[in-house]
Amino acid sequence: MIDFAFLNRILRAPASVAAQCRSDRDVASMARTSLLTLLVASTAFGAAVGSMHGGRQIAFAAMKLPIGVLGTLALAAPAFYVLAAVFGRPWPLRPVISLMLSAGARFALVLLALTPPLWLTIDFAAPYPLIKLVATVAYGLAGLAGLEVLVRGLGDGPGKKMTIALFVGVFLMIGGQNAWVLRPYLGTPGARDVELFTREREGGLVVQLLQSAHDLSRGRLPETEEAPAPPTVP
Amino acid sequence: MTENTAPFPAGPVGPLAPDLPHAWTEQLLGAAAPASPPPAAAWPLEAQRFATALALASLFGVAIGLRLGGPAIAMHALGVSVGILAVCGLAVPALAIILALANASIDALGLARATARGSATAGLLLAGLAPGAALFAVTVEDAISVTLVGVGGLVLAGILGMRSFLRELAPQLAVADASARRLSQITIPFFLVFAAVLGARIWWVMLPIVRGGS
Repeated sequence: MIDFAFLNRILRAPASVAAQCRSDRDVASMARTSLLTLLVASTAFGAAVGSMHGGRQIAFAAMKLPIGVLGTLALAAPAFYVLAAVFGRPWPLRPVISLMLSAGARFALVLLALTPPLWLTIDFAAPYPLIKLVATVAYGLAGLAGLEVLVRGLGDGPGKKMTIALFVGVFLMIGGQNAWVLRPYLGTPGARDVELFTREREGGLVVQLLQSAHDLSRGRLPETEEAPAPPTVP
Repeated sequence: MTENTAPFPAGPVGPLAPDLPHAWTEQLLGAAAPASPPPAAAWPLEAQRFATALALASLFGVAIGLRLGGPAIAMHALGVSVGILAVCGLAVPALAIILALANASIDALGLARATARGSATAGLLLAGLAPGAALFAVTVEDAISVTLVGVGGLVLAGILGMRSFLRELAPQLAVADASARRLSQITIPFFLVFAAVLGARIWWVMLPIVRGGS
């Protein structure tokens, strides 16, 4: 069911996996393993994130994170396909999707590795902003690990940097909005009610980013959602 | 170190396997090896490419039109395609006349090929961005996000479409005599500005989302 040799290769030799994707050989097993890895790792990471609030929030976050990750991959894959084509790599769809799934598998494995440190941070009753920071850094590091597969998969030649730069921009936008729609993950500190989706109208991701940039440009720190002090562990 | 943990070779990635079938995007963008069909066969091919480009571009219109729903979906699908159609139907012929005045060595088929391939680039890009744009259109609470995403996608597609158009045209312009080349170098920037303004105007008029409508 799970091709462990593939998981070993994707960590150690992403270039070799990228070459296999491009040759379009044995990609069905790779795709299956990648999807399962993504599902397991993002569920575990979601559960760790939700453990800050505890209770039902663990199940909610564990359920929402895989939806966010897989949804982002599904929505961003066409963008990667066309950007690669426009910048000189008009490849068939299957190698491109294989490449994206392989990148997703590497992302998932790194995310899985960073799940225990995140959980430990929460267990030590770290402040809410620090937990958010650790979760974001973990996500960013996993993203960079996944990106390496795409960079290597595109091979050498003109248009590579532009493809990657534009794709990263598109991916961040889609991923950010997806995450925004499915919030909250951590849950508001001190809040008694746990909700699957927030019902507050807070604009969208773009509005929040513009607001934060505006606040920072005026020398003000952006307001965060937490009002009360974070709970302490007895 | 066991066999299982031995490092894997991390050499350079080779080209795409030669036995793979050609992707339809390769045909659409004209990136396949040039076969130089006779003009009688080339015209329908370019027309087909252009029609495909418009159809693909309309997907982006459908995506941003989802924000308003109902007839606005069709309106936006039409509007995005009409913007490309207007640039190809009004700006490119104007450029052709000026280049002919400058005695540049460009024939109608060459110009049509460049136009179709530029449109294909823009259309393909818009189609690829459509799923992401649809996510924004149906999930954000504020109108400005959809406007920014819509305008961003259209601008990016316009820039890359123009880039493809000029790259296709460049070899033809390069074989002209020195004065024709100089005149072309002056004309092209004016054409780019005109095409950008024309496309932006059409999209502004036809796409309520671009005007900030929610």
